[in-house]
Amino acid sequence: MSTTVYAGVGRVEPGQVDGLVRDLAGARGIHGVVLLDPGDGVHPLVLASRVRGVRPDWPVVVPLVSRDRNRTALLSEVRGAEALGAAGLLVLAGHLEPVPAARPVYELDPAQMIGWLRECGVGLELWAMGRCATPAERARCRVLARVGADRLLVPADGMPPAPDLGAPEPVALADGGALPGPGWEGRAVVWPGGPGAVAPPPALPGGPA
Amino acid sequence: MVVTTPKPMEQILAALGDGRRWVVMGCAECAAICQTGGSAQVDEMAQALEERGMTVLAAVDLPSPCDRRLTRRDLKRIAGELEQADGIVCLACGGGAQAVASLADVPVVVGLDAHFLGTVERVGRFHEECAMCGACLINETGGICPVTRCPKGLRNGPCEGSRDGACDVHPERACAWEEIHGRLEARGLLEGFEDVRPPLDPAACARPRSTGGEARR
Repeated sequence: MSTTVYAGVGRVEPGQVDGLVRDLAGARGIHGVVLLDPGDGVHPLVLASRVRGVRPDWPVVVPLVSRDRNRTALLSEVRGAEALGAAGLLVLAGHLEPVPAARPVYELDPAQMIGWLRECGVGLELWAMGRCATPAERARCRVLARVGADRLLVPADGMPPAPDLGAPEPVALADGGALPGPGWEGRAVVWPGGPGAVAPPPALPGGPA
Repeated sequence: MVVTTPKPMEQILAALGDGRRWVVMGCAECAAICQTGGSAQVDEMAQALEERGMTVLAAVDLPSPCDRRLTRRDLKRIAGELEQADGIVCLACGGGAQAVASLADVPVVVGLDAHFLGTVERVGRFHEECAMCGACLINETGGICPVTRCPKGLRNGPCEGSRDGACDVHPERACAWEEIHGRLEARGLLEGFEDVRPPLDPAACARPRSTGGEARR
């Protein structure tokens, strides 16, 4: 089973963008980029545009964070991602902590959002994210699969997901520290979320901060 | 009940402006339980105003300021004092204060901030457990409201940030959805846990809300 390796990029400050893009452009062993919750950093569509500019062959997955966004705002980001040629959307509720000014809108949670995106005719691959360590989290994985999630990012310490989720497609996620907290380093990205192999993350030259 | 806290005295004094003669009104229901607008707090406010050289014409504890029927009756009982007053200092929630303001012919200064619909653990310790969203789903969630208990108000959870059963936003607390799962499991009701609950209908919670027709002011 081959492993697809994505670079995971979280919150990026404006001054880090050029360095990040340079590092990604020169990286070896990477097959794509997953943009994570950007917090109040550079907008992910900007990052997606820059990454596509240097590596048009890479699939880029853009986060769609429901924190502080109503449906109109979410749909505008979706259309932006489509226009940029993104390969997928990472559907997140999003963290409150990094964005103190955010209103906890959460008009749509990921399960609702995935169903809604499909209703809107969005054809991009839909990713979700979460642990599968507790029965409630495993139940959530099944819900997300049922409503149309194509892939699930699962942290190493959240593995294994429920065995009834199907055969895994292992994907390793490399990251330079931008993942949301401890437990996400050297991630496996798996969907359907069976107990997949966790490939060691390749080192990014310079590593995105 | 509506949980309230007192506004800072400086804010209240600033809102009083140049007025010198006041009627102080409290609330014998929620604000009394919160000890922010009961008879003791009404007396304290009256004393505080008099210490600043103002005249308190009446200090009354309304049985239920938010009930316009009762408040209309109670205001008639102090009509003479109200005629002479520059205004009313109202120690009630915003609903009560607005009901009083709609019935009185003088300005109303609210002395409390209203926060949430709370349950009482003990005096001074209240908890928000209902968001009054207009679409209660606790029949499906083991009597635990995720809209209130989950800081993100998710109707389908847990979120991607929960860890070891703890809340993403408040790691010292249990994830509401883990609690829901635990309770449903204990009661043999887990089959509904994986149902996808639709988003709130914005029309159902559009403000201002009324039942039984439009409000008459």
